[in-house]
Amino acid sequence: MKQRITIDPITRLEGHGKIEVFLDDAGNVANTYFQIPELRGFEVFCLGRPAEEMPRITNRICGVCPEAHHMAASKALDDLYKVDPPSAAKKLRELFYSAFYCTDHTTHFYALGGPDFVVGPDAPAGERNILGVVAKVGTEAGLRVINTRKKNHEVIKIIGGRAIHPVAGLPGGMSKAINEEERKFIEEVARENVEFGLWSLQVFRDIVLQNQAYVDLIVGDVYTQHTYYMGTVDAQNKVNFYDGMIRVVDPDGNEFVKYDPRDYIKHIAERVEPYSYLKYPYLKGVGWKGLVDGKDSGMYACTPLSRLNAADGMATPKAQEAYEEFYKTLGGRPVHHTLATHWARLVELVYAAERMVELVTDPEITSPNVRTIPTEKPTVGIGSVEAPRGTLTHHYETDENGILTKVNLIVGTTNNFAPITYTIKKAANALIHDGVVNDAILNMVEMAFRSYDPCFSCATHSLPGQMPLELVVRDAHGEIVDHRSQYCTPT
Amino acid sequence: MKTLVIGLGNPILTDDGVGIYAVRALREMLPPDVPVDVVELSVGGLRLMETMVDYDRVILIDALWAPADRRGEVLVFDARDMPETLNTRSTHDADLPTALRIGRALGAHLPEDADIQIVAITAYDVLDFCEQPSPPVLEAIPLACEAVLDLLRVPVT
Repeated sequence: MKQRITIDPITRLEGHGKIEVFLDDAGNVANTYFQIPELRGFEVFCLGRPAEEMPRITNRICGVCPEAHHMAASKALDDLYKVDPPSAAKKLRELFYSAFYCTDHTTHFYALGGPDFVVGPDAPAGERNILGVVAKVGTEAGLRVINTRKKNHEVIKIIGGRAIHPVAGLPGGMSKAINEEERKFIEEVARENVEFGLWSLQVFRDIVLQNQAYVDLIVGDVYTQHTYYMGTVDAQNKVNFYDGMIRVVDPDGNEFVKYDPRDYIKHIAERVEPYSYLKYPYLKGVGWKGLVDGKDSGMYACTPLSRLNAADGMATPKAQEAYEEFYKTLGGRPVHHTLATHWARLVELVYAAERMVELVTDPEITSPNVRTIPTEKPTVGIGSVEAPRGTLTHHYETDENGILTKVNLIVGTTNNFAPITYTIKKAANALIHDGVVNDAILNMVEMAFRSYDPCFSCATHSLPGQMPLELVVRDAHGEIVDHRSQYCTPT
Repeated sequence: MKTLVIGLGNPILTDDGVGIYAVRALREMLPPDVPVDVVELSVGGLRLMETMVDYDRVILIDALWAPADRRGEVLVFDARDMPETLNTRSTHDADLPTALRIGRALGAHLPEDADIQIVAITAYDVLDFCEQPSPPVLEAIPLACEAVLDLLRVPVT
């Protein structure tokens, strides 16, 4: 008898993802599909609007990373209007963006992915949350997380012009500069971020690396896959979040290609599968071989781990030390252990904090010269940044009045759709045997997925009331043989 | 009591934006001498909790996902009636009850659950892009505003 197991939707997933695991007659995994709902028609919604609205509209796509969309949109507008922002504006944007990284990576580590490790993968679901982390690490952790979020949100508000959905990015730069008083405050926050990042790395060492069971889990075969890795690098091939070239390395860690983000279409193609609205992007230069890993498969990942793998190092000293420790501990570059992404995220947190200090102490950062007025007619604009969960590309085309005629957005999680699905498939294969299904196994499958920090958000903030979770087991004829659910969608 | 009224939602996701549109309408109806702060928010969980810090009372206007044939109803309840789930339901956040527990555990001054009142407008289409709610949800806005004024003991004119 064949069974179909449905986990729907995934705990801690914004939006509603669904994992379907099909079992064979023996109760072992035959196939695994990962489905997500489409974000219906956002690109169409944008057509006919003035392009300069995009930094303000696209940041409404998502309540999770509005800052990433705001930056990618602003950069796409620079390109669209063929205008180069003054260097002070670029630094200000990068400072803003680094503050955003500090809040986002902090939240993910302590509230989301972290609980799997810090509290423990076998802990009851009710304890695997930030309160569980606070209980284990101490109240200081909670206070520091809240404090880090609060202060960096203040920085985002100062530079971005608004607390949650920023408005300061314009074609050619920023709408306003910062003054010395604001700069001093941001410097203080940046230095605290560095301390906090280093402290978080120590938490990881103490709680995760000192626990052999966790280390075994990280380096075990279940959560290991050999893919290509993508990330944005600066001129020295160091990780950069705001600007640079896109570099892809092969599963052996050798550079496969390095290209200008404007040329993405020459290097990335999209595979359509009938069971999902979301397409699988893959490397054109390798080709689509299905959901398999290895050098012959065009599947690539872009995550914090991928960015570290795709770069030759970090551009700041303490992050570089953390980078070296990371690879020394895990056996050299590239690292193929998906769960190591949580650690890589902390290395990036330290980099974001150190980069903030560099930028905020740059004499130019308070320069009032933050805007170059566009004078050219708009045609095509492509801009990209590294969103915390992967490379984010905005591509706009307009008529000569700047009215949008084409919009294409490749968001971070879309890039990772193939490796996410592959990871889940592999985890399910290893963790579901003989038809045995229990909550711990389901969580292990979800852990595979959560390490990608995926975001299928459409910023729906309706009160759901309760956390929806559904488990359906079907036989070969589609009959439900087991059904467990809590708090599911109204029908 | 220091009071905050929050309109919650995403203004480009059809019915999900109703909380935002409701507080915009409410601003027009509120007499200037009523001492409340009114904000629009598009976030949940931790950021929502953080917004409530240092207030004694919060009235939250939000869409409540419901079956299509029950769109446009106005429900008033408070945070004591919100289910206590300790799992976060977003990839980047905690749910509101968890966020409130965290905030209180860390010593933040937050309203009691009984003083976090929710004026919910039942909504269905929260996934399609549109800059205004569906007609039944839109029509419920005056009713929701009256419910807020009633909670604030402001006479409805």
